[in-house]
Amino acid sequence: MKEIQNNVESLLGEIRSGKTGRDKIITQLYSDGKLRGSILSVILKMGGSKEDFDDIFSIALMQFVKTVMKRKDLVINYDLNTYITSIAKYTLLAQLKSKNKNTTQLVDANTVMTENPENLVIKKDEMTLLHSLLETLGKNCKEVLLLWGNGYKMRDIADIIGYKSEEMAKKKKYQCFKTLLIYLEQNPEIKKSLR
Amino acid sequence: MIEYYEHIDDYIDGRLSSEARQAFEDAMKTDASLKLAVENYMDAAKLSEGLLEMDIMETINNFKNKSQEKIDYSTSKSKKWLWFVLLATVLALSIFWYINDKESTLHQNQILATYIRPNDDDATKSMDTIGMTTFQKGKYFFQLNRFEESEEWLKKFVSTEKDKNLLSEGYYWLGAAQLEQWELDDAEKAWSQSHEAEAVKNVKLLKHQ
Repeated sequence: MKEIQNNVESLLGEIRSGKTGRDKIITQLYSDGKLRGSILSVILKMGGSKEDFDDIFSIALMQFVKTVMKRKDLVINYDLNTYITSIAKYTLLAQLKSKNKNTTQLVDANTVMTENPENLVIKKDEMTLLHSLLETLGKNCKEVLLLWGNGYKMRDIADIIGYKSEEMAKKKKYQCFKTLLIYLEQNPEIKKSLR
Repeated sequence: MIEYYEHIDDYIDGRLSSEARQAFEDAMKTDASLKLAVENYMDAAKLSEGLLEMDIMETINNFKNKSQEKIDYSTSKSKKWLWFVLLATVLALSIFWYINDKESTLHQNQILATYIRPNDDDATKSMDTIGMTTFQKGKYFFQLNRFEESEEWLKKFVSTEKDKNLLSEGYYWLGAAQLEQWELDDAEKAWSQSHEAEAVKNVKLLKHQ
């Protein structure tokens, strides 16, 4: 983690560089003992339990990576550990609020809050439902749509995936988008759950 | 022939010229699937955005399962044959690791994925160690990632402390300081002398690594 924190910029770049880099950073962060420890400590301090840890940690990592990918001008003013832990606090507060728990006394003066991280659009229970979509799309289509859906320009998508031109990336995106539309038509329950 | 599907983004975002827009709308009147595509555009865009979340979750789950599988296989008592296969695999892998790289990153990651580092925010509130007990010093240096010094102070602490609960906590921190330096045998020994839930879990983890 030491070297990661010393080089936040290159870490953000690696997350934005495509699936290989993204996965590498996700597994590094997921297995970071210090990060896990500080998130667990926050959860316990805020009245959560050890059982909440897995959920909160996964959601915080998802929000972190999504925020990095969607906000190309993101500047992290704290060390990475503090930044991700503050996202976890934000996630836990949101969960406690949704359970109608009084949260005002939980945010102490030392709490560092980042500006709100990106919201997640897929609920946890929908993920299982959407598993068939990943099989339908295949690896390349998934990555093209994923990047497009998170604000990447066609030129960047072409560079990341290795298409020869922006035009080629555009063609691929439309092909994949068609497949996605057909999938939605065939699975009205998913369409319903997205609204 | 114009492939109208390629212009859905432009149509939705209002980037078409008035002629092109009219042509697109005329095409929708005769092409039901194009009309449907426009109607479902927002859902498909939202789903595309969500693909990233699904992909991250998949990566986390795959990594988690890999680490968990390793522990599960090691602790399974009912399938004796698995023990033999495992034993042979572990032996082969141990030799391989020993020869190549005993402390491979993957191996470390698998252990670190299930290990939760102890944390005490108060440990570093003070700017220096003046007036601190040996235990506080141990925790102070640990929080600063100075594990060698932390280990030294924690060893002093456990060698003099009489209170059972504090001693158990001390061994827990000592084990962590040793793990951070990848002193696996020492960490296992220290954690074995602690009854902290995390220490018990960690001993199990190391015994089966």
